[in-house]
Amino acid sequence: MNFEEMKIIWDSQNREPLYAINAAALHDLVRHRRDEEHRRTACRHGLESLVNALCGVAMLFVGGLLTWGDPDWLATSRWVRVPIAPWHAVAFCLAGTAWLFCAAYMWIARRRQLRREEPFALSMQGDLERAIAHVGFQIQVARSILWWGLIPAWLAAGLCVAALFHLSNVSAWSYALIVMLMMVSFVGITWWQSHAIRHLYEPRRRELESLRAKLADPNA
Amino acid sequence: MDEHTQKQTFDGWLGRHRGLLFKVVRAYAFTPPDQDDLFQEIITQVWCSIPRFRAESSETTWLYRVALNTALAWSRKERRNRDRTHALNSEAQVLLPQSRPTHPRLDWLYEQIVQLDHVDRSLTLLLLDGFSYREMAETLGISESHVGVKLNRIKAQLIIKSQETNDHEL
Repeated sequence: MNFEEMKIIWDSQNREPLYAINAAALHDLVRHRRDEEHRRTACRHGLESLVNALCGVAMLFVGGLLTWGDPDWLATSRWVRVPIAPWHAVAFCLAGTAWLFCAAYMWIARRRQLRREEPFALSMQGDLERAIAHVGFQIQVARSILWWGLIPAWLAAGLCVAALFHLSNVSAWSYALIVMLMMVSFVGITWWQSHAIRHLYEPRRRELESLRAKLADPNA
Repeated sequence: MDEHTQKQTFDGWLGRHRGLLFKVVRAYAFTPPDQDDLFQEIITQVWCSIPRFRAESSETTWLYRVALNTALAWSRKERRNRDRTHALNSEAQVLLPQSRPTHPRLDWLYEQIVQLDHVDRSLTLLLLDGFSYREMAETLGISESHVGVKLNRIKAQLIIKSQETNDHEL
């Protein structure tokens, strides 16, 4: 078979389409799919930022309460069993500030990531460049979020728990348990981040780079 | 661009060039649910691309660009994401397979195309649909001479494979 024959065979499918289109569902599906994608992204990023911001605000609120609240009313609380010291309020305020910093960092990082996804490439090479840059950015965020997002959040949570436990005068076992839990979850999340980089992002980047190399090499 | 104009353009494109999209779908997705998912993804991207269309290229070149880029991105998506999308859209199928007489030669041609890597597969589709070297170069973002070298190799490869396959098998 020569190439002209192949072309005739190829063109034969124009007369008998392989599929029919469900026209009734078409527009609804396009709209649904587009909206669903936007909603899912907005929900994920919005919820993440909101939860972090609420934690920060709650910590600052407790810090403010310990500083300016009525000492007699606070003394009646079940979880205040020792006299309130200035360091308790400072600990909560520092933790709240650190948590808000993490929330802001994550929100800005996600916004930057979303903005990078918007440009529309007109060629396959442009699309590959965009995809490679996007995976590179995901790796960078996954790495930096550990130092700028997780560690400050863990320190803040640790500070907050230390102040709370001291105020509640809990036993040393409770400290040990919470420290252990925090360490386990920290190790778990750190492991998951590096696992995602090694087994998800890096292979995807290699695959894209090999495709780009193939596109650039006429003899490939 | 208002939604009514966008819808008119979308319906017009789909009415005139749906066959082109079907070819990309068949070359990149192999099971009916995957084909339906890829088609939905392509038409969603086509819809979103309409406001950016400036008529500097022909409609078919534009649609091929969008469809091929989407197919490439779709192929990269993790399997579990695709499964989740199937689950969400399982009740609303857009692509309805038609019963038609079998075309062994066309099926053979598709078999050869899907064995090519993504870049060569895209070029083969454009070549078979009669696009010029310039249009192919623009669609892929490479030079025309580069396209020529690749196409010569692909053509030779396809001809050798057709010679290796007995006529009675086709």
